[in-house]
Amino acid sequence: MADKPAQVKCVIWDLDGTVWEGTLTEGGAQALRPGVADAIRELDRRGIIQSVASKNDAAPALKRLEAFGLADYFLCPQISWGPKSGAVQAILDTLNLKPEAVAFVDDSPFERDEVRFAHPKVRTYDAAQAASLPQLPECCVRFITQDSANRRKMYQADLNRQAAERDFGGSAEEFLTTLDMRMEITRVTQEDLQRVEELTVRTHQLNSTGYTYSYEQLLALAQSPEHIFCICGLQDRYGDSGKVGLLLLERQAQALRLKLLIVSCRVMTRGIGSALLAYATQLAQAEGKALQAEFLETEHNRIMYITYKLAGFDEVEEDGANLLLEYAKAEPIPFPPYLTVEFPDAGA
Amino acid sequence: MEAQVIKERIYQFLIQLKQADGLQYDTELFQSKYITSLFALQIVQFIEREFHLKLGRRDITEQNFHTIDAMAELVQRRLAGGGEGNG
Repeated sequence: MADKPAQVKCVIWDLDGTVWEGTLTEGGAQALRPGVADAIRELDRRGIIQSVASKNDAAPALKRLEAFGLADYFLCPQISWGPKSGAVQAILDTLNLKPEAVAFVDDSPFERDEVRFAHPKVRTYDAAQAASLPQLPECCVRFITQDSANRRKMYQADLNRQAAERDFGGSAEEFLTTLDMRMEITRVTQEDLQRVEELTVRTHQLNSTGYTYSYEQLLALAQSPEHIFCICGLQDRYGDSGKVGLLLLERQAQALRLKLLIVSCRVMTRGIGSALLAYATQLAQAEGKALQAEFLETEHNRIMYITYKLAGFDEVEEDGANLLLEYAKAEPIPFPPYLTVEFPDAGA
Repeated sequence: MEAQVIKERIYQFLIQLKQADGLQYDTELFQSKYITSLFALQIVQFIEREFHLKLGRRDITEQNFHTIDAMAELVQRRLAGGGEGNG
């Protein structure tokens, strides 16, 4: 199979001569460049997030963006007189992105070179390509889920939450308690399958095995009586984080076998993995079975191994990178105290 | 590095994670449900960062993390160039 270019997850826009005509400080910015607003809206609809790296004074530039009705589309805009490579770095750090997932659009060859020199993996585009960005293969997505359409709002909620955490005086657990987190665990249905596939493909760090399944296989698993296949959503007072976790258990004669535990990296420090693991121990106890977990070591998922081991799992088999772990305690793990767990399916 | 210094740094980190009611160096962290797996993960990451260590698979056991004392012992052992424990 030919290598396809890595998916662009974030587009960073210059403003002067790229988003709008002319230069704001010289009396320009009276009109948008043709096709740019449509491109920005289309990328947003696909769940590709966007930001700004512009050399301008922040307040008037943001005011112009607002007047054009575009300000809300951009997360953590970087508007200052500093180098754009620094602006790009700030965006990578704030949004937790890898440079290969980022595209940078600027009409100035100097600025494109300056960014490329500091971030060789960032793809750069001339303003002439701005309107046609959505047609590039690297900006195409296979399908658009509810979560992709809401992705920008979720990121914005994450940024607000992070700011609140920085300003919070108490302990991490007290902060989590203030979030009023509600987690909803439901069985995977056909409507969830695209998001399920998206999570299995996009998640590397918080993925216990990295197993991927075709749409047909996922559908079969969702309908199989031999499997318990759950998806979880998360809400808190900053907003709806969407569907953020997956748990797949296989019913075996003596044990429930955990095949897949996935948590979206966006919610990494909020205890969702702990809660799904707790749920798995509770299900196993309810069925009177042991709980075993397959773990396939990859380059990125060491975090998942640590999670299992310190939640009370021991290794019972080892075959190269393939491990089988078993929950070794008599009592199931309770849900974390800072989280309310709901089961809308129950009683249905 | 002195054991006392290591213990104090770990203690300081733990009380940032969770308000401590009489947390001692020998408090059983798992039994008292002091540690959820979320916090366990953050503790491992903290220890690696703070003491410039890379813990191996065999270091990641409840035995090595069940008290501040046990964590400090693990850190000292690894700083002294000891290999992964046999836990």
